[in-house]
Amino acid sequence: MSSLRGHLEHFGLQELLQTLSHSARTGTLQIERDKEKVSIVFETGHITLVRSGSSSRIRLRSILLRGGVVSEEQLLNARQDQQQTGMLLGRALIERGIIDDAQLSQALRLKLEEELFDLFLWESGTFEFFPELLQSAAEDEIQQVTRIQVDPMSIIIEGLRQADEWKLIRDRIKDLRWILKPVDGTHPPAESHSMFMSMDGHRSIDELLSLATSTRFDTCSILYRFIEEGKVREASAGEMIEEARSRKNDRPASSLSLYEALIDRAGSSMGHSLLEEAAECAAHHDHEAQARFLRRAVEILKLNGDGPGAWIRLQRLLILAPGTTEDLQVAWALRQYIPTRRVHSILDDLVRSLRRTGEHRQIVSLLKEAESIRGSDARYWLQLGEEMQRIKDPAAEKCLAQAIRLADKNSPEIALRAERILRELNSDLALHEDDLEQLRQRRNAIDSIKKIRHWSLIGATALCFIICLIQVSSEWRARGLLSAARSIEASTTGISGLTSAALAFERVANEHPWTFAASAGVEASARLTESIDHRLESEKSARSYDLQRERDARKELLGRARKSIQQARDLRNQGDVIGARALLDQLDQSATLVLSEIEIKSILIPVQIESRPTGARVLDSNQKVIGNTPMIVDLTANAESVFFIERSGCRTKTIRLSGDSPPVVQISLVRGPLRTFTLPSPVQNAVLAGDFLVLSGRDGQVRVVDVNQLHVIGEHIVGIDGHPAALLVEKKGEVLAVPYSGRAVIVEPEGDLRALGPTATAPWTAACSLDAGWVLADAAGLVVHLDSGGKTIWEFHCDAPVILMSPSTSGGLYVIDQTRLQHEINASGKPTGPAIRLPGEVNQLLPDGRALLQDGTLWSHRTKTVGPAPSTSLRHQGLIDYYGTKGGWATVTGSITEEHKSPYGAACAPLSAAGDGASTWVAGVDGILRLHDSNDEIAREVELGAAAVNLQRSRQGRILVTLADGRLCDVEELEK
Amino acid sequence: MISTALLTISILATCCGSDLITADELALTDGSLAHLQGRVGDRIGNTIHLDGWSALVKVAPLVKIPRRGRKDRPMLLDLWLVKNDQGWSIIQAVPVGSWEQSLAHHRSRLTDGDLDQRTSILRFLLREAPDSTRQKLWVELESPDTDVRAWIHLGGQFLSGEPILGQTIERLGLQSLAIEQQLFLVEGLWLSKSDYFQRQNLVEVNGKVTDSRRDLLARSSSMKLDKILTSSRTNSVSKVIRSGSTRKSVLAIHGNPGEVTWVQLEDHLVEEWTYHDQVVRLIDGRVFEIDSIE
Repeated sequence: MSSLRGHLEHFGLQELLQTLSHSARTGTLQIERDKEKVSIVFETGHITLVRSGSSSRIRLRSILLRGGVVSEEQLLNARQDQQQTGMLLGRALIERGIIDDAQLSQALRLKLEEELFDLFLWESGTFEFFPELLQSAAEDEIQQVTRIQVDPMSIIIEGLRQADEWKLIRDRIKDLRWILKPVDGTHPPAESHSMFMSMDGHRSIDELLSLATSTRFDTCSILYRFIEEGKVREASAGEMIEEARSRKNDRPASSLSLYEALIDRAGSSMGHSLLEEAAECAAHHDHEAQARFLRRAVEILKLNGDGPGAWIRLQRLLILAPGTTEDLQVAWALRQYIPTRRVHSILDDLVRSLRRTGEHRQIVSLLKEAESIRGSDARYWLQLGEEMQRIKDPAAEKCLAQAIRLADKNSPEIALRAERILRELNSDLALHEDDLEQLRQRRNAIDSIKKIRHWSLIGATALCFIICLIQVSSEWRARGLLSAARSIEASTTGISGLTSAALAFERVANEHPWTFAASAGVEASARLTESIDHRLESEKSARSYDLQRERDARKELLGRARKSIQQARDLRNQGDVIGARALLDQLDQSATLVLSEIEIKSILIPVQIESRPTGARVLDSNQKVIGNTPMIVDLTANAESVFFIERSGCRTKTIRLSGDSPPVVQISLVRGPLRTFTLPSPVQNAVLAGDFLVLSGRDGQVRVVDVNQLHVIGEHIVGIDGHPAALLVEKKGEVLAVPYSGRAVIVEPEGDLRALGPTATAPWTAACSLDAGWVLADAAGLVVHLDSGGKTIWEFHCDAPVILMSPSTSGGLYVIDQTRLQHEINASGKPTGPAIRLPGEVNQLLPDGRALLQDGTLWSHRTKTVGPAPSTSLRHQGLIDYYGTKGGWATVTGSITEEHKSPYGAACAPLSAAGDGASTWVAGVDGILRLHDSNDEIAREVELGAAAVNLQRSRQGRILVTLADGRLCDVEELEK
Repeated sequence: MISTALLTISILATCCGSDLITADELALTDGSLAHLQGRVGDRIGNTIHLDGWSALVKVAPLVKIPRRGRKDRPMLLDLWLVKNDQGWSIIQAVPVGSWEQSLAHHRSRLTDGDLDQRTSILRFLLREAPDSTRQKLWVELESPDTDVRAWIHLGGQFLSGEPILGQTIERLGLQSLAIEQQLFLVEGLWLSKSDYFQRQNLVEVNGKVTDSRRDLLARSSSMKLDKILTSSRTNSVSKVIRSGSTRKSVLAIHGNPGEVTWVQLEDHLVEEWTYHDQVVRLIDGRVFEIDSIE
């Protein structure tokens, strides 16, 4: 609750301060001028705090800087603290230890005094004192606001002095927005030198004040003195305009300030173009600034009599600040320049605005002014009557009566309302009941019409909605069909597909004619129909073109085919059957189609018949000799011909040849073995023991075959299926089978197996026989000598896995391990000397201790003979050793290694032929067993059909050949 | 600390002498200070491996070992080592200026010293030589002063399988000497013992040479015998081989294996069947593990 209020014009600030000070008041004095508001806090008659809008200009920081108490850097740091913690600047400086409480109090006192001195310049304004309301005391406590105590009496004297001087200063410095310029040729004064130097001719007084370190009053006093002394002058209007233009882009706010200063000073003489420039500049600012400028511009334009121009700006102003009473009043004043329809709306807006503030008298006068434009409107008279009735103007009755009079048949409600008010004002002027009834009936009729219209509108809307719904539904379905038709079109390139698509598009148009999709369907259908027609035409022309091309191609093909046939014939005559057949094979189906039947039948297909051995007679189906192999026979394409190939000492063979036969047919006339027996599984090792052949394979079985009957008489599981085949060693009719794991067994051909020796602790890798029993060796380097009963006689240990053993001529043993060390062991199992390292991978050992290396070297530590590299194992027969090579076979007799050539190589170790031993049986890698005579010429050939793995000679003078595919062949050594 | 170390070096160098030797000669050094050239390997705590020296050497505090790039060969270093109760310690390490200088210095020393020392120098030179010059260097090192056995042995060690080794042995007729020095001629190339063993799938265990696959099979299987027995006892009737499949199934699907080896563990037979693309391991005739060969 306030206890003291008034106007500064009647009760000045000096009296106010004196009164509150003398009466030791506590409270807040609020002083307002225009939109500025200042609060002065009193505590027992002393001023402790001033809060004002001007505090934004008078800042603590500038006072502190001015006093040299703080530096810019210290202020910056304190400002950071202020932003982070929210504390006030002064408190932040104290917290940092930059200033103390006394320095802060002194600065605040100066600030307070400056703010109060400014108040003394206020000649008008209102004030109000609130005895108990201390300005945000609690808030101040939280923010740790520093309060000081200033005696108002000390302020009054200085404030009055400054106020007096301000009046003088204001005579010279009328507008702080104006620019000051040093007069040309003036030397900077010694006193206030920095102030003079800061005037660069572009800064306004406001800008100079913000730069100055002294108080506003002192700064303005200095500037006043400079002007008085002629050192400084105010910028001319032209210079101001020039400066405003230069700032327009970079500093539009300051530019607008200059423009405003110009406008304020120039008033109605302000140029039109300058106003436009300023308007452009104002457009960059907030609405308030723009509105402020626009109001000023409207005012000037109005004073200059430029009504239309003023209205244009006023329109913008009404958009920026709609509904402002003052602006609307200005607009009303300019109504002659405003379109009539807009005038009505402005009038309504203005009436509404005034009604909000309760200015009914103004409304009445306003409406009276509007009579000329609304005088014929019953509503106007009703409105005027109502407003007059509110201010109790007796003319209200007339207005209401006029409203009733003017209310025609279409607006009975106005008449009724006017009549009701009129009846309240003066019942004598009320209408007759019959007239009233007529009015009511008319109003009811109008209401009925309105209702009918209303419901009709609703019905029409609903109908439209339903139609739209149906249309949308139809459109939706049509679009579905349309997209289906498009997908048909997209998925096909053929004419039939396109026709289907065109029909689908037509269907869209037919089924949903009033849709957008239908029109699209019609267009697409037409486009497709045109495309189909075009393609049909193109295909027709293409067919005729293709026909011609086909004729040409056929002709060319025919020529090529005839040429090929002739070339093939020439090649055949030159003996090149393969070349001729290649040419004929190139004649494809299309080429034979173009040839006539006679020509096809006349094509002869050459086939070369070759035989092994060559020189065999070739007889045709009539047993007529047609030549000797190799020879060429000519066959027709689809007929089959029979030929007989015969040669003395060989088998006769019948062959059937046709045009599909290979170009070269090779016939072997070589005789086969006497008998063949197929074993259940392939064989890897085989030894002959008397009349029995013992075989081992990877199926873990050892089989015994009677070589006379050539059938298996015993099968024994010795090893594990999948493991390497059991090693086989023969001695005096007994066979030792050594599996990869487990125990060795003695295979007794006509009996069972007899286990021998220890169970393997590592894979058995080698075995051989000695005079007194057997020797086994394993991958752990163990060499064990067993007697015939299986008892261990001695053991020898190598440092590496044993890979090969062979009995020595001295009754001992040669052992070779995987590190190539050759150990010689005597009959007692003791090494005869240090182990010797072999210079290469060993293939086999000879009984004299020489090693046959993989490169063909026969090596001992005394001698070294180079021979062909072995490709098979070694066979020792009598005094000669045999082994196969890639290019034939080799024999080793003493220190002489002799190589024998054969293009078929050797698949297993050769076998010396019976008799003088000069001939040799060699099983070639081509699956033919050959007997080579002493001149290495082929004396006999026997076709085996597969590579041999072993050759043995039976006691009946037969060669037993074990084949890799598991067959066993019986070949007569001596041909009968 | 560093200054103390430098002071120690200077005092010891003055008192004891400090010929520049190779890391391989460290074993032959009697003194307590050694100045040598060598390469160091990865550092483990305050110890580091020195090439040519079997034991780890310590790195004295604050001694910085020049670093190398992750993929680079370590730098050849000039090292000062001091011997104390705990062995040799590096007290200073600086990179060697150039290999050529080092080579020239140590080559000049090949005419002096005993056989062990010369062999050590030869080994050092061949090991530390850049790959591009090693072959040429080995050929050049053959001289009347060189111990031919050591030279051939080192040639085999550092140039195993290189044509130059075979060519030189053939040219000088040193095949017997090469065999004596445990070099192996395989398909025209001379291989070192380790390369030959690797090629033959051999491994040396406690002085005995054995098949590396058997050794590995025995070691790996014995560690998890219970587990593989359990795995092999799974019943499996399937068209693919899996744990529990029998030998018969394996043979039916894959045929005979290329190679077979086996070991006896307690009373169980553990087999390894090698095919071209996989290895199948069985225990007592049932599969317990299948490994594919990359």
